[in-house]
Amino acid sequence: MKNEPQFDERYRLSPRHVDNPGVEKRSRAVLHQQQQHLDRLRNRPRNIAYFEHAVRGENISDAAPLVGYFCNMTPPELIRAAGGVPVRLGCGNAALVQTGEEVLAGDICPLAKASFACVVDERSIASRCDAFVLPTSCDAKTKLGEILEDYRPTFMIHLPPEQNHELFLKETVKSYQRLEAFLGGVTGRKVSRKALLHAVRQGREQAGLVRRLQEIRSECPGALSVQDLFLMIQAASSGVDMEEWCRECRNVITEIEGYSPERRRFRHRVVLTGAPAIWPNFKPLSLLEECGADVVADTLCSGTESCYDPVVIDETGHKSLLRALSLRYVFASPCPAFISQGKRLNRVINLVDEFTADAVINYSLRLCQLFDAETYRLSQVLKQRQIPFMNMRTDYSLEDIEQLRVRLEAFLETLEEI
Amino acid sequence: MTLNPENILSVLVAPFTNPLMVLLIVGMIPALLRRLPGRHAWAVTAVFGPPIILWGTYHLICLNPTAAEWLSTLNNPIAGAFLVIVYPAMLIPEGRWRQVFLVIPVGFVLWFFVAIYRGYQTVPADESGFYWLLVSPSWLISGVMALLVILHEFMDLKWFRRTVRATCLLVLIYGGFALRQDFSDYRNMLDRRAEEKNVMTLQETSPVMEYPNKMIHLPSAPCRFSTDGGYVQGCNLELFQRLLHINMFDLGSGSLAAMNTLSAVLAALMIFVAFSFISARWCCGWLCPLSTIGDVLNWMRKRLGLPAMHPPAPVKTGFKISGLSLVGVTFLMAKATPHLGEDGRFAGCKIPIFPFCKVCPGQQVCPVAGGGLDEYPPLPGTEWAFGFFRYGMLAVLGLFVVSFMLSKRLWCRFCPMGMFSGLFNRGGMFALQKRAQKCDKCGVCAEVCPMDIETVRDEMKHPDVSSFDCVLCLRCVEKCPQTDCLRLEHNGITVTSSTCSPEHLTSEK
Amino acid sequence: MISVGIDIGSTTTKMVILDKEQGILAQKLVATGAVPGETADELFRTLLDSVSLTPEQIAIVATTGYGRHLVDIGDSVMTEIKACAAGVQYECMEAEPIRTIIDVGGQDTKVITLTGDGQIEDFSMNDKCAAGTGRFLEVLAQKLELSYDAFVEEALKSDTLLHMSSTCAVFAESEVVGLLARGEAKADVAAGAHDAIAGRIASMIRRTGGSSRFAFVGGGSLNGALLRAMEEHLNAEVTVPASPQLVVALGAAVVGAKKVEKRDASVSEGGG
Repeated sequence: MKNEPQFDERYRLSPRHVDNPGVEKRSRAVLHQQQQHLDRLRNRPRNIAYFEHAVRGENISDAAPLVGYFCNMTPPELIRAAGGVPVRLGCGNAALVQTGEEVLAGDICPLAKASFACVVDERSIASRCDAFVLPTSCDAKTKLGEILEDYRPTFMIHLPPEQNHELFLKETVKSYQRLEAFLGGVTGRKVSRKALLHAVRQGREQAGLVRRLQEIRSECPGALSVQDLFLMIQAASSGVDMEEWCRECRNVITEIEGYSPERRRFRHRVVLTGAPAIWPNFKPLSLLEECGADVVADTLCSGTESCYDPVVIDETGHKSLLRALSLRYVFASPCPAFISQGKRLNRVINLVDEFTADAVINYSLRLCQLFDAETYRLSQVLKQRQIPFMNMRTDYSLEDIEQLRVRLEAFLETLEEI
Repeated sequence: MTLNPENILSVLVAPFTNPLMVLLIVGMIPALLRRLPGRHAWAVTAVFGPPIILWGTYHLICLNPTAAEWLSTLNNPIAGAFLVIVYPAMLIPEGRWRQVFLVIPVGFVLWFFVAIYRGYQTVPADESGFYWLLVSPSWLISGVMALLVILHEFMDLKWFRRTVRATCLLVLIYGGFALRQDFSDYRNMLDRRAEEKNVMTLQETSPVMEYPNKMIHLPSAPCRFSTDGGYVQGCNLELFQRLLHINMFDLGSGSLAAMNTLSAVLAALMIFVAFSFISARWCCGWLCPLSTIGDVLNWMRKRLGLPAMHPPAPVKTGFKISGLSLVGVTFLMAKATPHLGEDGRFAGCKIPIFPFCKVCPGQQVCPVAGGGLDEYPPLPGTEWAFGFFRYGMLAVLGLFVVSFMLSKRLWCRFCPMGMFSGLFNRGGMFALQKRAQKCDKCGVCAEVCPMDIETVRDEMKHPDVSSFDCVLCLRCVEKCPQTDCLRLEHNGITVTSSTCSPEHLTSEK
Repeated sequence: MISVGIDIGSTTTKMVILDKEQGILAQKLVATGAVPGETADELFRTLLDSVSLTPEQIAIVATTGYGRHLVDIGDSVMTEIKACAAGVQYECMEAEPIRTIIDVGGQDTKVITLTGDGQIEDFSMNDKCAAGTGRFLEVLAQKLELSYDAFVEEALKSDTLLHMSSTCAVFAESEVVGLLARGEAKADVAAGAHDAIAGRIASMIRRTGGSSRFAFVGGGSLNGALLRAMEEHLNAEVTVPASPQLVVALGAAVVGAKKVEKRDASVSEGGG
């Protein structure tokens, strides 16, 4: 397939140089605060430092071209198969939102704004990327893609609005084929069947490890904090060598397999769903843990959702592998970008069952209309099934943390009374 | 000429005088009862239970005066072993009782080897050279089934299916040639084959001659035209054709030969119906040698990296209709068989004896697979069907090869026999169940399905996702990435369910 | 048995001393100040002295409110939502059960719905901005150059319906300027502001699934105009407890007392 330009080059703007020492200082403060939160956690795995460094982008090899991408609908396997190193672009730094507002309008989701700020910040991993890949999952991403095109070659993956129809599967496969052509242009290597198969197998191994972690955490949530889990998962998409990541993850597993809590304190088990919590915005995670709840499962696209389910290899032909990727990353996706909310509802209800959770918490990121709009149905459906539910509507900033704490604690108190 | 009502009655009753049939029907009762609400179930049991018990006892005591004789009739290699070995293995859940049960298959395997050893004892000292297995079919079937049951304990679904399919291919295509009761039986067979290769007479074709009243027919396509008839006496479509061969006028006049044929064919058909009720299209997915050969071709397609064709729904319906029309036309031709003239013509047309077999790829593939191109059938009617030259039907063979390489299980969508068994996919004892709550609708089940079934993916309300086309190959259960989402139930008991464990994923490389 | 409830709010700290038999022994409200811990300590000591009790005589000290984690005199910590529900039920015990509690405070507005047997069914709070809280009314009073009490009285006088769309303290200022410039009476503007807030709270109640009977607590319930507007919007009578600002501290004391009883019961069971 030919690598055709997606944007009108005549109207391209020259990259904007952003130099804002105030924002930079505050963004460092946010990172520092979050790091303090993590340091306060008890029984962390011994080698957690590896993941901490990775998340900050300190473990990147310079050899291969970096390809920044957004969302679960972009298969990192394809980037690996093309010889690139996938780097997930989402940023959760509250301070950087301000920089983003200079280009993106005020009422656009903080994730898009902060991520844009990362791209123009010379110290971040995002600014070292050679190309960007974004799916048209929401309006913010669609327009962010056009802005990013000013900085680096950018490819937009066209997503179908609907899932589960052969028509849309074919469309997605076509989009992935175009992505292959684009990546080929960036890395100078064609995606070969063998490389793709290898990448898919690696992804399956990662899924297996994450499943194992969740198994252990389901039995004993104290073994690994959900913040560390997210850290590990997000480290995997920060440009690290996959084999190294798997090795370190295995070490964590062997370490926490033997964990037994000194004294069993009653803590609530909750399922977390909703918008992504991306480093360093672990606010919902740390708040939940501080209030006495263990997140035993989640449907967050920045959490286990990104690598809990494996890509199913049936046939190993090139096109069949692309189909398999489409099924995993687009057809099974619970992202509210698609018309039906059924998948997320189904998934949440199932996780409550499977992980014997007491309640569901919805993290609804302010200004992410898609998740906001889904909250009503979610609350009603869970009410029908008598699953306690709380909506945590907030954004990156820390100013409402005390209010949220009251709400969470009161919610958990109501669980006790039942 | 008038039909004698007494004769007709005795023909209709005849199948039920087969004790095996009685057992199968009794075995079906719990499955039927399960479908009724509790109160009705008791009523039905109360009404039908005593007569059935009386009926069974009557057979035991009056029709077959000695228990030994009754048991010998039970000695049907497939059904017997199925009831004793496979059925319990399927239904006993993991645990201590399963381990206790495993003693039985282990015993059968041991006895299987003893039987082989004893078979070779019958070879005279002056005879030298290589002989195939000399073992009675009963021991082979029960031995192989027992071996598979034991192997199942150590295999995942994928490898277990592969093993079963390879075994069935060997037994059903080559078994007839290889397996003889003892050395003298084997010699007789070799002599017979040296004289004539005509496999059309019923008694000549099969190694199970020693059980003349119990024709074994499987709901799959082990073709009787393969070398020495394969291991079974042909498929069910052949039975239907035989039914049509019976001259109704002979029957009406009370011809003993016609009566016997009718009775035997009906008995075999009844067993087929019972078997279909128990196993639905499972045989299509696991036993049928034709589909196994097809899957080897399909594997070649995969290796070449060619994507499979997914015919759209109307085309699939078209396949079904054309399959059924083929049956209709060829069966009408079979009806003419009793009225053929001296020259084998009816109304000026030359009619083959088994018209359907002329268009069935089984007859093209099985003999070649069994004995090479030499075996390619110079059979009555061949010259008619596509009739230019002896290898005229190689076109059908070619079509078969191409079709299997284009799409998965293309023939299975035509296969009328499979469609017949498929009637029991819903309402039979097997049921493919889905827990919609676990399902992400990722569509992997539809993607891996060799029959392109979408019901499993799309059905979110009803837990029973069995569909008419399903061949119970269980690929969807094997590949489903959600643990316990899909499962196969037999009579309400879970036989296997989908698993996606971390160990499985991490140990792949 | 005597239990103490302390509610350390963002602006005021409240304390109630509750005796199981005699009811409320003492209660007091002070400003929270910069160091909530010290304020609470001092309040605790002075109030105990006023009824001549020693800390040893107190079975349990239950703390609640935003500062609940900041003080170290408490034995039991709970959220104001739980305390509020318990306090309202203690105060309004006689009549038919309260099903919905409206709490309008300085910085936040809460709606708590209860089941028939007094359990918390659901609750909601305003988002992080101050729209629809007491603060909004205070800001408007300033804008109209009235004291808060005068503002309320003005509002009670009005009988004209004036629609105000904004409940945001910041944007309402400019809206008020516009209204006054148009020549609207101050009384009508004040009533309109109360109506806007009541409408917002009523919609919050509907979203939470609140139903009759209603109780109205917190500083906002002392505002007669707001109470009237609430009753209009809900089309039902709204009960205000005797000391609506202290009800949360009272609830904390009630819950604390219950905890002690439960603990004693389990101890005696275990012992016997």
